[in-house]
Amino acid sequence: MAKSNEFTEKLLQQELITDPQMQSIRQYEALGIFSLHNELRFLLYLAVLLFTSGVGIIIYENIDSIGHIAILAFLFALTGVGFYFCFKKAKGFDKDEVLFESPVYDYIVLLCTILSCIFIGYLQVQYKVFGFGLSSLACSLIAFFCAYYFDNKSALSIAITGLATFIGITVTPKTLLENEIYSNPTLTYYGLVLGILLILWTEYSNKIALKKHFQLVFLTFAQHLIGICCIAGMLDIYWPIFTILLAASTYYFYKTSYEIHSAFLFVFTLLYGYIGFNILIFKIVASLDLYDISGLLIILTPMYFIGSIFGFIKLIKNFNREKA
Amino acid sequence: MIVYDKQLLENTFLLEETKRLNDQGFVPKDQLTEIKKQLPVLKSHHNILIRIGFFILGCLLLSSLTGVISLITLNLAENHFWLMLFIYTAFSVVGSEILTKQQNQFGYGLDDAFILGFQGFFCGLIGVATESPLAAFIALAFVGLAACIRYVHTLSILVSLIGLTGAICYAVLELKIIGSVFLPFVLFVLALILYFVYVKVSTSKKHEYYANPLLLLQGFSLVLGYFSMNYMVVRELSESLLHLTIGKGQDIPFAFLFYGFTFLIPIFYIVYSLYSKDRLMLIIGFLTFGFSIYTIRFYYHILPIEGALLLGGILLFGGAYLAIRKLRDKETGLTFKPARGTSADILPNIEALIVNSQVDLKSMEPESKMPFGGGGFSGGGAGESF
Repeated sequence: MAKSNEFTEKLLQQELITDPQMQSIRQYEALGIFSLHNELRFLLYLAVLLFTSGVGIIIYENIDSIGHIAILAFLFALTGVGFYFCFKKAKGFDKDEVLFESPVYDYIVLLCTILSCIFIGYLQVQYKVFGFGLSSLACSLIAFFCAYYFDNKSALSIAITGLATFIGITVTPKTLLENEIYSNPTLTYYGLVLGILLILWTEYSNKIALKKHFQLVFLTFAQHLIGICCIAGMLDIYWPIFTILLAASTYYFYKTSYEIHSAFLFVFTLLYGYIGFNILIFKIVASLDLYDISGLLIILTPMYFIGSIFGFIKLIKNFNREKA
Repeated sequence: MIVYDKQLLENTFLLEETKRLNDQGFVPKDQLTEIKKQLPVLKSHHNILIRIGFFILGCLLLSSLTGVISLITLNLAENHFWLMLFIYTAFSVVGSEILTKQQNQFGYGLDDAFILGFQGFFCGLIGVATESPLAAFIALAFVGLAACIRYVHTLSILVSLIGLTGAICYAVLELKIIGSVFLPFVLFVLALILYFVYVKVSTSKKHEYYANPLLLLQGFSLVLGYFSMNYMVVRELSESLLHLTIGKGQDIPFAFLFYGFTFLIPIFYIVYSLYSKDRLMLIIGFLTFGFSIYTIRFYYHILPIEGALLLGGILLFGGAYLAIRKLRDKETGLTFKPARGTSADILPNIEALIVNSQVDLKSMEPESKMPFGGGGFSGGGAGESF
């Protein structure tokens, strides 16, 4: 605290801020506010994740022992009670952002969404209610409903994951690193299609002003799906097509990140673009059979990196200027 | 002492402060833009992703440059490896000076790569030249501190602290300056001393640019203080480092102390941080408390995992809910109301990201579900009969 005051004083001394401003700053600081808003919300979130993991394990371990009906009934009751409260407190559907009066309900919505998914999964494993893959689609639909009705981004994220599971890929951060997509080329195409669909849906939602603040979640999923699928594709035989696709998506995300001022999107756009570009260069060098002059190439690499650094600096400067 | 132009550095911090005031709504946007025009500042990247990106680029650049140097001076390396490291060190020091002094980079990413790079090279150089780990650790401690002071570089203080802690551990474990059993206490005393230094320096007037390094110093001393006394850490490390074998019914020396501290320290952190309004300590308190629970569960299976998760979830939810109820309408001091200037938008986005790694929809799909005929998935059947 001492530090910030010091610089505030200096701002005042240099007459960069005015006396009345300083007064109100002092008044505010005298309140001694120490907000636990984010911390407490995160604890609630953690509690939901712990609880649902616990439920998941109980069900998984007792799948053949206790009466299924008992578990089903318990889950159903819990989910039902949760949803009852949420519906009671919700302000109803709105195209704009709606918040619960108390953020606690956001986490009850999340709890109910995950519990419903566990419920459906249980029905599927035990009674095979759904045809192939449809159970994750059902989860996804419930989660989409919760996301849009109760305005919950975490539920939206589950919904998109469910959709991806339905077409056969897992898009959690962990599995993305475990190369599932790379080992199965068909999945690349499905991933690409899903990514493009997500973009189209975002654009459409924007047009009709439906939950515009969901844009970033959708675009993040789309960006990583398309980026990873394209890079996987570039390492395969049809690489020219994927190169073009990656270039197109890089262009799209570049434009979009400018529009919505999202540095997060912008950085990953550059990252995927740069990885793709390097793969392309590598392919060209490899096909030209330049191995005789590999010593020269090694000496050229610092130049290449310096060049790229200058390129990046320029791009980011542009971005920051636009943002400001 | 500080490499940067004093005025520019000062301006950087002033602008930083104005931005904070703007976020809090005390200073209107126009005024911020006006001040931005008036104050020339150092080049920094505030977005952590961009900074990390440039850091990686800087590392690539540094490694490719040293690669070129190695290529030219290849025959030197055979006999005089230390000379190579010396050249690398000198080279990256020059690089850091150019980037900071001429390019005015401050927390830009590229400068981070070079500043941390020369510390690494220097530590390697001393290690190779003297063939003594102790000397290497001490070198790290000094070079880190020097870099932190000269470049106002936050991460360097961490390097320095790691060097210091490493040197002490090495002196106790290998050189046996005192009985190895006392290492936890030595480290705990070190943590206390570091915290004392933190308090002393941060209350003095001369630290104005070093708020972030000081924060890191505080965090390090809190974490070190906890882990030096954590039962699991002490027990596992005694087994692996001191080759202590702990039979059934036996326990490590001073076990009761470590059990006590494992829980007392986090509770102290949480309570004291709420009292002194110290966010970093509060967060470390929560994290270490979680680790304490893990520690106990590691040795005593009080509850099956699912029971622990359910109970933990319910207790946590209940606790947080009660706290929210209690703090909801308070206007001063501890409160649930968002503080001025904290963005409400970040947390939901982070949560949306994490929920994905937690909720695994795939596991509930039956194994045979491969609607797209991926083909290669039937080979998983081995393994069972081993």
